[in-house]
Amino acid sequence: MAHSATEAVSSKQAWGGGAAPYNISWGKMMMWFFLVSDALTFSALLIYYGATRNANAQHWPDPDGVFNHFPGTSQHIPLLFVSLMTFILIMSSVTMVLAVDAGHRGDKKRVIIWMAFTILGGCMFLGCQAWEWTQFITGTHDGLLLPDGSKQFGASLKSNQYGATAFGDLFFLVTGFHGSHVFSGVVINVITLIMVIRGVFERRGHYEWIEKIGLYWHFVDLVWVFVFTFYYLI
Amino acid sequence: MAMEYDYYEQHIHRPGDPIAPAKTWWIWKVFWILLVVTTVEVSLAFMNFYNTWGVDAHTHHNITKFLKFVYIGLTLLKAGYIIFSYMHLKDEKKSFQMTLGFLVIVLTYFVILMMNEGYYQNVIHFDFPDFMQRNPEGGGGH
Repeated sequence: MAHSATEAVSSKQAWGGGAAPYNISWGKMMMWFFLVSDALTFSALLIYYGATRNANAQHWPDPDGVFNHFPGTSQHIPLLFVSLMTFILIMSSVTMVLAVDAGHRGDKKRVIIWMAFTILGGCMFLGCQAWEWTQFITGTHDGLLLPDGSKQFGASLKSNQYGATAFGDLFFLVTGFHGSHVFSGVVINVITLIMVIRGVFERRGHYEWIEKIGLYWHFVDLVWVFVFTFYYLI
Repeated sequence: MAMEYDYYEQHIHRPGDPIAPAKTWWIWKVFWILLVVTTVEVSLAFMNFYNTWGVDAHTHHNITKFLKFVYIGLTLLKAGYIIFSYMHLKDEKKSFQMTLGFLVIVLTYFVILMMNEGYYQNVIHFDFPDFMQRNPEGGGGH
């Protein structure tokens, strides 16, 4: 980019209107700006999570001791299931970028294949999340013995057996908000797949739409990378 | 060199046009990086959970604190690979990268501010009257 500073650029080419100074189409740029605003929303949730955790540090449970279930076994294995979910989402990100690459080359057949795999990955992730929520809401076998002799099982928005109430609240809020993003991403991907199969982009002559939803899908993966670190690892 | 940008001129494909061969090695390279970094993170957390290091409680507490910074560092590394490689931000103009990067400055300030606020709320919140406490029965208070 160093050489571009020495180029003579007329004001019309730069900011005079009717030009694209960023060398990026308006649709893609607006998708980036939408993602910036969405990043602010997710940051607000995660930063509030950090502040609340700091404020309730004495009552905050160790997430590794809470999310330690795995389907098909009663063994407690911390982090294994959520690692699987991370792997699924990274994998679906890879298939998405392969679909974008195929679209760039106008390869309709491969766009269809990779889009289908991306949708499959998104659905698998949502299924995993549903299972994880069920485990969290159901709670452990023994539950928590309360002072009045009764027992509390699992988590709700009002209380949970693991510790601070805000731990459960924020889990539902943050992973729920992320899950709704994955869900809308899957819906958009399905619509796109139908459009690709019907040859809409072939007639249009380019697959830029795949790049735009690809940006959205990678962003959802990106958010999960942060949720994974701040909610499960730390 | 003209600065005009026309996506459609550059990327138009007509039915029957030859399809260029796929060059996907960089996608898989980034995939392996993401996978290895995630595996390292999970392994560290797993070993720390079971205290594989075999250290006393005080040292274990310090290691846990230190690992938090390791996780954040590795997370930012992964985020960088996703944004710059998979979302193709490295192919955009520097000015566009900086337009989006402004967000990082705002968020860094916000993170430091809010962590500090949370810490002080923890230290001083017993000075608040009961109705201002998060959970007067003991869930969130002292």
